[in-house]
Amino acid sequence: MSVATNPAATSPVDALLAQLDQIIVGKSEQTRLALACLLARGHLLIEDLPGMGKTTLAHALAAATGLNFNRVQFTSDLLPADIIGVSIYQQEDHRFQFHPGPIFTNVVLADEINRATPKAQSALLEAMEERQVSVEGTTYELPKPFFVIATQNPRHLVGTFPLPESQLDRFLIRIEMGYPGREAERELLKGEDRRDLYRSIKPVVDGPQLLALQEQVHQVHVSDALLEYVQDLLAASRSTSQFANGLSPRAGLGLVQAARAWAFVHHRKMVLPEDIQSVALSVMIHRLHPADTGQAAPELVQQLLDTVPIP
Amino acid sequence: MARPQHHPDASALNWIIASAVVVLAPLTLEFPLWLSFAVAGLFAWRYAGLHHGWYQPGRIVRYALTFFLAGAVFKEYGTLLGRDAGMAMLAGLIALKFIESRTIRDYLLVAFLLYLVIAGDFFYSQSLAHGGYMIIAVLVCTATLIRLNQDHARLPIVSFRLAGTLLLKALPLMLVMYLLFPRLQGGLWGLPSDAYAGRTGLSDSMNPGSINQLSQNTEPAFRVEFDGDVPANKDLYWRALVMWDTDGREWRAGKMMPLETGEPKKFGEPVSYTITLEPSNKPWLVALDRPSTIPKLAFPRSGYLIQGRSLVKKRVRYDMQSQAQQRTDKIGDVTRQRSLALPDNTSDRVRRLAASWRSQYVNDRDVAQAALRYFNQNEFVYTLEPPLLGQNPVDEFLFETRRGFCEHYATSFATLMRAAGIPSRIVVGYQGGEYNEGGEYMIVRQSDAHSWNELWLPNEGWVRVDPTGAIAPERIELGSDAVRRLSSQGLPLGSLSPELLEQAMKLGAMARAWRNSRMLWDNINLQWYRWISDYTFERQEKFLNNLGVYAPTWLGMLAGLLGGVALLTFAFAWAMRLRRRTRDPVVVAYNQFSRKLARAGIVRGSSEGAKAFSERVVLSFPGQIAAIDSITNMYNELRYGDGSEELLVKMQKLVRDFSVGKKEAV
Repeated sequence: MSVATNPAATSPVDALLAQLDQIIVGKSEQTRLALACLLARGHLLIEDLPGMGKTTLAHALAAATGLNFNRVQFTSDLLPADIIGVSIYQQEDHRFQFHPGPIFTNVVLADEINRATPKAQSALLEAMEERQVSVEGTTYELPKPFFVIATQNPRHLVGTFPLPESQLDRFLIRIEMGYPGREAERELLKGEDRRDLYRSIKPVVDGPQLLALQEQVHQVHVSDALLEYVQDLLAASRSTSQFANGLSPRAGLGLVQAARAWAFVHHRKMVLPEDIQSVALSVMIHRLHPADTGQAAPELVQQLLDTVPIP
Repeated sequence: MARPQHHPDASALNWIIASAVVVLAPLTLEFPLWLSFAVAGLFAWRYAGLHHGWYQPGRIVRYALTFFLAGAVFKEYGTLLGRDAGMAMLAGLIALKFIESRTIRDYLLVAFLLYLVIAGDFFYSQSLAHGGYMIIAVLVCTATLIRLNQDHARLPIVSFRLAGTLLLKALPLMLVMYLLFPRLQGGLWGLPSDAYAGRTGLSDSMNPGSINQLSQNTEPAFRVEFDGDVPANKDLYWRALVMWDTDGREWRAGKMMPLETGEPKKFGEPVSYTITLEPSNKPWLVALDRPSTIPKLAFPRSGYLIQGRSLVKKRVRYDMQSQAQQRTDKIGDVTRQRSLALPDNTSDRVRRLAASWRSQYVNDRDVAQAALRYFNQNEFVYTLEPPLLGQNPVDEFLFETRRGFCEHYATSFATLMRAAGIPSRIVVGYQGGEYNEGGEYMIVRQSDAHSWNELWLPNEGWVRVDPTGAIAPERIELGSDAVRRLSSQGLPLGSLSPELLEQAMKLGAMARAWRNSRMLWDNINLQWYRWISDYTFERQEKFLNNLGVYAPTWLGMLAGLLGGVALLTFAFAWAMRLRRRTRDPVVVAYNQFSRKLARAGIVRGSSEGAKAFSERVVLSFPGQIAAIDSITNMYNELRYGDGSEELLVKMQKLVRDFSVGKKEAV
């Protein structure tokens, strides 16, 4: 796929992609998936080694959409209150007052989420699912749109608490950044610091516009024939003995929603089986676990896609 | 995915052992004890090796064991061939194969051999219970095969469910094969000669007590299905044998007499029926008195008997017709001589008794009546437990013990008649039977064995006279079962009032239920036999006739069979296709497009989307890019978007007009 750098792009989606591709060089697949995830109202999990541009992607997304952005660095001593906020006793009027935590923003970058304890992780994940926070009996709505980008180090690195499967399911899409290509890396090395670059980004859309885009994604047509295909995929994941367990209905919903966003990013009014196939790996990879540890999940998912016929 | 070098996990081997136990268990009844233990021991040895790391035999030990097995089987049976020795060798070799099995391929072989054992097991029995057990064995074996092919241990129910589904799906195919597989006259796989041995039943000689032996034996002798009404019990005389010769103690059938000539005079309604005779290992067939037809598998014998062309070693089924009849032509000299021959030890008392009747009556029939009256009016008792008789049983019975049953009366009566100069003989067979209402057929058991007499009367021919009827009419009218029940209640036979008799014969609820369930089971067994075991060449021919196929040839049937199997397979594939088939005209049109491309050498993968496919296609046909893109976009729009009817028409036209040559050079 070619890198879209047309500044005169007419649709806001193209403009957004153009902005992102300027900063994240040579990773158009990942930037499109990340944008699709945002548009599908999902949350994004980025898994890769440190220094691969995970944080940069999160920053760029926030900057290009003109949304408020907070970053929480997850560490092993992070407490739920550090994320959600805390009620502090006010001497003057003799009552507690809630001080919102960093989660009260549009885009949250939960950096190295698997370095925190499960307790802190679950505080974030609860907020992700409910899009609201309850502190001492009071419910606080989170701002709209609300989008969490969590980064995670590969599990085998030292000092990590791997996310349990139930919480991995909360993330719509999981991507890996991967090493840049030789050309892209050269450009990266030559160019200025990425962090300076995204500070100069002018937002292409604002909050209400983004919400409108999300609404449009929801309007993308999904036919019965396509749902048939999705159901065949789900059934196949459940019947094969290669996976410890099959895909949940939530995973099926996510697959359709992500495919809608993917079709929308590609200016299509309906979802094609190819859209499903394009997002399937990213949607399924963190939800399916090979029954036999000797086999790699990506290959098995690809095998699943190759064997299930399109009805 | 069979990987020949793959080593199965230990639990998969437990499955093999389990199925071997299930399959071989019924054979332990047939095998000598040492063989059962040897086979079990070999399996246990392998099990211990797998789970407890016991020493396993090396190549040389295994060879030695094989030779030892062959030697032992030869010593036991005197051969390595035939049913018993063959099955023994098979079981032993399976155990030996199991002990040397290492790879999955070896274990699969063991499983396949177990199927062979299941097939061989039917040499021993083809009964319903046995068949049911073997279905379970097939299920276990199939589940084992499935288990062996699994990469991971899954719940046993998974294997069993799949095995059950497979077998059920194979059922129609099995039925076609079963009904149409050419059956050769005389049988393709003749049963080994040792298949049926040691059957009890009538024999061609009669000693005092030989029928009494049978009276305890409630095994069915044969079953009868009547075409019309069932005759009354007192008319159910089933002929099997005629005894001519006696030495005063034993009666024998003796040499065969020349066949009666001349057409008999028939009267009365003919009775048509079908007999299913249990194996007796004897040549004679039973028939209702008197047979007027001869089944295909038999020939007539003198004395209105029919005899099979070979010994009855397995169940036979034949259609018969009987009708009251008489031959009034003259009795031959040889016959006359034989039917008047008195044994040397005939006592004076017997001769005097006969002479007294002879002098009293002119008519032979009146003499016979006098004899019957003699039995009836003196203190003769019908009992199944008579006192033992010595060297001159007729004399002792007539004048001293006076306690006996049919054979005592028949032999005494025959002797008396011969002494009075009336040609007489003894007929041995069965009398009565138990009617199975559910199955509408009659069971005649070994305990219904009976003997009676026939006298030659001038102008009437051979006439049946049953002296037992003079003593115990219940035996003739109600059957042997009634006699047993009455005797067990201590009631005297021959002098019961009808009310008392009815009361004594009434069955309790439990006894009725027990009888009904026994009858039901017997009926199921008979139907099993009719449709499964007895599905012979003749029955197959009849079945095909019903289908409108006449005089089938072996080759024609084979062709029919193959055709049937092909048709079934095709129908199955078609049904599968129909299920997947979409009526969507969009898909139909697109498939047409795909087919055109497939003919040009580019085949769409089943999981390939239309757009991805078109991207691949235009590489080969850059000239057609416009048409390909249009069709693809229209297809996607119609199938996944909300395309209109006009678009479909447009797409169908585009597809019709679309044509590609051979793959263009890229």
